[in-house]
Amino acid sequence: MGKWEISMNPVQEWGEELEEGALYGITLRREPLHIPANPKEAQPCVAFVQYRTSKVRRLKAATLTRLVNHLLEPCCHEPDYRLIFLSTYRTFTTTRTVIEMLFQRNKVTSDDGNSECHRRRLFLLIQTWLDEYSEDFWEPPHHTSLRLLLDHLPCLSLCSLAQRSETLLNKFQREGQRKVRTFLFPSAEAVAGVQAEKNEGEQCSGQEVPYWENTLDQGGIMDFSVAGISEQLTRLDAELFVKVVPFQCLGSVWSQRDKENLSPTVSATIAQFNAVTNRVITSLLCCSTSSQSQRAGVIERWISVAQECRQLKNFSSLRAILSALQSSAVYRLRKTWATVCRDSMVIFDNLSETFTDENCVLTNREILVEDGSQPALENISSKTFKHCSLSRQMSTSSGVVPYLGTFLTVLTMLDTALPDTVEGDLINFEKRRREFEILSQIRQLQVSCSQYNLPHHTRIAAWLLDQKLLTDQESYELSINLEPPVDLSSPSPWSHRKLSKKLSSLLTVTENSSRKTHVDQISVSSSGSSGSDMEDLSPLSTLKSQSLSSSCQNVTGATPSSPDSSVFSKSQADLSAPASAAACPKPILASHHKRSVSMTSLPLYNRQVADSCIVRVSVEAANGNMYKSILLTSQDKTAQVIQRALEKHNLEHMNSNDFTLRQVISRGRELIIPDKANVFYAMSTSANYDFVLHQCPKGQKKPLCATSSLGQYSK
Amino acid sequence: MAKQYDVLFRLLLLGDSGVGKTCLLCRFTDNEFHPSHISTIGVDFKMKTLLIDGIKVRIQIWDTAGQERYQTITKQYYRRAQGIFLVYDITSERSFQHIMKWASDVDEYAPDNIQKILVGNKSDEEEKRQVATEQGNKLAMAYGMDFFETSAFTNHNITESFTRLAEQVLVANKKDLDLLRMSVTDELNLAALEEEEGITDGTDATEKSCWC
Repeated sequence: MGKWEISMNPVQEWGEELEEGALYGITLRREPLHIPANPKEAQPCVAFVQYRTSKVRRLKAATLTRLVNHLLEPCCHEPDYRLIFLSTYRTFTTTRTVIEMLFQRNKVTSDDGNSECHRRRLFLLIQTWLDEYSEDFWEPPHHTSLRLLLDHLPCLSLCSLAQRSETLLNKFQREGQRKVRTFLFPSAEAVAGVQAEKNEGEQCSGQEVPYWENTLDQGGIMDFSVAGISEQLTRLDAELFVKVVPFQCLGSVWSQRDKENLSPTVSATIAQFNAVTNRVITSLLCCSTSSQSQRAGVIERWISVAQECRQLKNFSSLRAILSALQSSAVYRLRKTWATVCRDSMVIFDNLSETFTDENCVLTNREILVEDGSQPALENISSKTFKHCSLSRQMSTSSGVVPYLGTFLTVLTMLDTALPDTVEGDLINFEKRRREFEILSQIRQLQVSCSQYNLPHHTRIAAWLLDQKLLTDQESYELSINLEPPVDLSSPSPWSHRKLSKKLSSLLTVTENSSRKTHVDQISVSSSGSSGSDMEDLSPLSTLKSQSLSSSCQNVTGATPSSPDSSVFSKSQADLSAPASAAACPKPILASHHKRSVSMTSLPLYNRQVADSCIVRVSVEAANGNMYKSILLTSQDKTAQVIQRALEKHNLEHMNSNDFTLRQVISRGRELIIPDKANVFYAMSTSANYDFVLHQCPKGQKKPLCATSSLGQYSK
Repeated sequence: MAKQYDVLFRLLLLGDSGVGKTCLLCRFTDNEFHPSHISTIGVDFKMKTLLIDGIKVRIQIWDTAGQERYQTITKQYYRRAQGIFLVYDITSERSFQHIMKWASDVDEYAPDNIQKILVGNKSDEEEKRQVATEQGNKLAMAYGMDFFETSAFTNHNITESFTRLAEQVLVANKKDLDLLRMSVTDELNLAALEEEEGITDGTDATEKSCWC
């Protein structure tokens, strides 16, 4: 066993070595040894491979002095050591201290015969420091560390570096005078920029954009193009993300409580994120005159923008939009959501499912590798946005703006989980190594951002900034005004949606088992027909996108094309029917049933729960079936219900246009459901949920036409 | 094939940054928490299985540490959790005052039957205490919550508070639980029946029941 392991794993933890003030981790690395091929012996002898084992020392913990010294030691095995140190040293010391120690050490060893090599290493170190971590030297007003560095450099004839530091110092001083550090007040700067551009007569920097998209001064989301908005968001996000100082993301820096914010660059990205969510919320709620369908249009618009952000790999604004749409104030607008078109809902569900918190790190990692992970999503998007997605993907191939929150959480957790010091009060450098892994991912993504080349849309920029900030309370109140709460006890569609998903997974299991037949029998029991249920599956699966997305606004658990979905929608509809129907056949079935009921808000006959209910539909003068149970959701239009009822009654060959749908209110009284009505809302909830399909005499037009929205009683 | 768990709960840690939410989590999930796990994978939640009243309860704990300032993000979790820890730091008056805000947020946006528990962390730092135990008690009473003072450092009341919340969630979902039990029994009967019929099918639909 041991042998096997050794042969499998080329790197082995060996142990630790404790020197004075330093703890090393030792790993053994085995690498195949390539023997120079001797042409004569080569062929018969390749049956074995020779390995060479080398010992690798890694500084795990040390005193500060040892850590600093290690920077310039020639035997440093670890190529990244310098970067790890520079990325994280400020968690345990200061810039000034490190400079002092470096040059102090330098004095001691300057007589060394190795001094030239030593100087070389010092040069490289300081060069990296100045180039990539110049932020460390920003200490207004005097920038003392930088001056200290400047004092030391010429003595060591490191003149080019001295020059660089000089330049940096000058730059800092200029910025200090302006009192605006670019990363500190990005929005202020952006505002200033926009204002300036406005003053210059709408001249904009960067690429010129045709102004076909703005009609009025007071623009709204509907006045701008989806592409324009997502480009502008991405531009802003990328700008801010590039300015993030990775060090400021570290748990020990970012998660400081009760202290002044040490991470302004991180805060700036969050401020932008919150501004986007606020923009989404205000665009929906701050227009009290808007109608439901107008609001639904705004939601659809934002979903398109989110989808575009996904294309642009701007995961920050994508998350912002999704979370805003899911915020309580917006999310609770059930009637509005019910009017959102299906395609948009499918996209929305896909996006929300893909970019939930559980898998968003995964997502981030996928992005780092490559992003071909969402074929379903790509399909939808290519359908909807074909015209722009292709060219866009070419031009901005790999710019990525991540959702920074994921990194912040991981870093906070690392900081909590790993101690700062280990026994003997040594600085735990292993912890910094782990943190560096995350920080370098951030850096990598920052580099990718330079590949964006997006036009600047001044009007959109102004619109994004010009907004009223709403508190949660305010937005909630606005939301209540738009759609007063109907039934406080009814569960939110969201829980219903989770529920449906849950149910689908339960039912998916049953599909493969013999119990499937039992499930089918339930519907048999209510319909009296037999054997038809198997066939029912196919027409239903063609309806999947409707029944599925409508029944629970959810395509997530089962992808539309999967066979599960049909089972799901079908079974859900059929299963619940006998709940109130008297006959409840076998105890086994009861178990299914109980379990479903235990999921709380399953649709019930004669009751609208959440966004769905069960209705019974019979066909007037038809094939002898009494009725069929159908799951009706708040998304279902009359035509779909008729279609589904016909299918259930094995009448799919009939033209659904020849039928009208009526609710049987009482003996002889029927409520005609208009052609284009939403049946869920049009139906009477005080009567039994019994419907009948009337076939119209041939050639005769339907009694009611599209526009009327209220049901009419008929005798 | 033994079931890993009977039910799955999602619990959410809420409170200001720095109150030690993540410490609590680390402590509680000690056995399953290895620092080595977090380098590359995201730790949005941690798992632990408890045995309560004969039921294997798998709890998944969400911790959004580091994301507190994203306005809409944390609230997205409210809807998806069954239980919430409201955590403050006994050495920080401010974190205690903020509990009111967190609690009213939860009342407003979370599902009605969500269970809450109040936790005053860092009870080991007695000398720096700013919030008296009595204050915590009072607040908990006002909101009808249970209250624990905990210390992730000394492991004081950690398991107790997590178990308590899990129990509350169980009770709150008791009706569902009974149904689950019945269905589990039925499941067994069904399995027996299938065997009689010569159909072997190892599906256990309830294995991953989750109330959400």
